[in-house]
Amino acid sequence: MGSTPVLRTAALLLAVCCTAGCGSSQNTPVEDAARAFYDSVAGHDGEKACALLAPETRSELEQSAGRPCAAALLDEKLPTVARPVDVRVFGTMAEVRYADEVAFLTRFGHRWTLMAVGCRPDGDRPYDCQVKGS
Amino acid sequence: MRKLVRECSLSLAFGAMFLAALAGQAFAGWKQFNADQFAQGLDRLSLAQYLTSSDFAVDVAENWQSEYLQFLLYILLTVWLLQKGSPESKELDRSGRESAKDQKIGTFAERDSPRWARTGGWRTGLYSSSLVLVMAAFFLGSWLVQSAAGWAAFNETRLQDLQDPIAWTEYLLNADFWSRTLQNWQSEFLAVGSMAVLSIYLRQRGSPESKPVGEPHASTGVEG
Repeated sequence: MGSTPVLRTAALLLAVCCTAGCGSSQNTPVEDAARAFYDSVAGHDGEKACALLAPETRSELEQSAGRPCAAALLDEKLPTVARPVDVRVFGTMAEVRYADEVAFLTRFGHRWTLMAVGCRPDGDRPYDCQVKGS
Repeated sequence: MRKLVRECSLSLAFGAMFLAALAGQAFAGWKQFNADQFAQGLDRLSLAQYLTSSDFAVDVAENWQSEYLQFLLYILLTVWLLQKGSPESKELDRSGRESAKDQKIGTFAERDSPRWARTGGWRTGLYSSSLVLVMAAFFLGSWLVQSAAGWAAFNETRLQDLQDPIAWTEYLLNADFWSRTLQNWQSEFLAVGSMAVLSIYLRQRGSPESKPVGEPHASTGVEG
């Protein structure tokens, strides 16, 4: 009997916390990493952008293009982005949504890296991404 | 000290087994999580990071909620439901909440009865259901944690698969939530049901969970 209001309050707090991604502070490093990547691409600094890719994504790009990462990445003609529309973080994974672009990030140590970029929706299927790991 | 250990040996033994099993689960779960991460080209977590992850939390909480549900239902249903021949059941003519005299409450309380059993009113009413209320709170709390941690772990996997995360309210209707929940519930219901029936015919000498070895199969509500 007495536990019902307590549980309701706990559920509400949990839902509010989870809806907010348990605090926006964890979104900032994700947003910063994505911004640094797209700024490097827009500035044609392929080396710097490649340094922000996840290891698996970088090696997959080099392997499929048969060229060094920097050149292969700039060839992809990734879109330029403005401010993110939404940032979602769950454990070691994150998604940054822009108006016409979606990026997936993964955490390595304390550093967020780009796992898939140039992603477009494909109905109920996973996003179709220009650059991604295997 | 030796007396205390002897008199509390049951709770101490289960407490120790719980901690050992939880430590084993944490270590094995950490190894398995990192093996999956490595196979997908993702970073591995330290043990401390894994212990605060949603993957560990959901694996722990989904088992806790089902155990507390099991005991909650068992305590509650055995008030009214009976099983002829089972030591887990009350005698066949005692179904229900029973009289104040039978339950030693209010004016029927004894000198050493708990204070809230003697006072009457809402205190005695609340105390009369305190075990079920606490079990229900533990069950609902664990289930709530399972839903939140399971949601976070599920969304982490979705992001690895390049899919959008879903809302918590959507997760509550998702197959992952109900698969985790029901796979635990079915095993608890099976175990309790088997115990109620097997204890009609089978015995364990010396255990209060069994009838005395020589007790007839038809005897109900008799504990060893």
